[in-house]
Amino acid sequence: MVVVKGFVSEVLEESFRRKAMEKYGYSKGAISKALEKAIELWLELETDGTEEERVNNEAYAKLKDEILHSYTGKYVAIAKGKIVASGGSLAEMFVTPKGKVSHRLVFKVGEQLPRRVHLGWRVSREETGRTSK
Amino acid sequence: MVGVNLIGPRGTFPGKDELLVRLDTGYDGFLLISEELYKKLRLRLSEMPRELWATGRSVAGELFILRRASLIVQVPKAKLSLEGYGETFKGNDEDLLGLKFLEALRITLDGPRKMTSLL
Repeated sequence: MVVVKGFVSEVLEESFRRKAMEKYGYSKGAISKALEKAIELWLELETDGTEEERVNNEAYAKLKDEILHSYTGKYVAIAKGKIVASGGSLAEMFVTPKGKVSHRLVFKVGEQLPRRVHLGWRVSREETGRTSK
Repeated sequence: MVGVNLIGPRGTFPGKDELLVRLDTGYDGFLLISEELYKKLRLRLSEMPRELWATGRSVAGELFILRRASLIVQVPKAKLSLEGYGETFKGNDEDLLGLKFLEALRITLDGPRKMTSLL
């Protein structure tokens, strides 16, 4: 465990502290637990490539031939660098994973998907505004 | 517009109601979703390997890396459930159903009545 220091507004600190106490009780470790959860969630939402994502993709690259040989036509789920589930339907892969997992790979083995996609007329990254005269 | 339910690793969205998603034949994927919805559906728990992600090109020629994840699209009114994928890119706020989705359906576009009818 390490100490994380930073500055937040008083309003945010107060509501965070209150919520942490509600959730984890009026104990000494409540703030730490809530902070850890908040950081985990933020990382899951905001980080482009998490450690788990890297590990899972490396496992996929390593196991690709074996997966193709043994699971063609089936769905496979990889979590924490291991194959954790396989089955004939996608719904089977959506069963809640055991333990804390923030990233999983789920795919149908052997399915050919388009690698280049036309996004159509509506799509752009941001509004560019009117064209000047 | 087509009323759909999306099923991801953390359940069904939007649940009771339907999400109205525009059909766009200019988009040749299955389902394009906003970054926000990608997060809401927790699609990082059903993501495809990076080497199966695609490159998207807009009509303006901009290129985007599309994150892809497995999901199920249900069309309640047609009692239809399709296994497929949702994809998004940084800065996207559009939800669109594309040609890959249409492969499984017969649809008529009724312009004067502004209706999409599933056959």
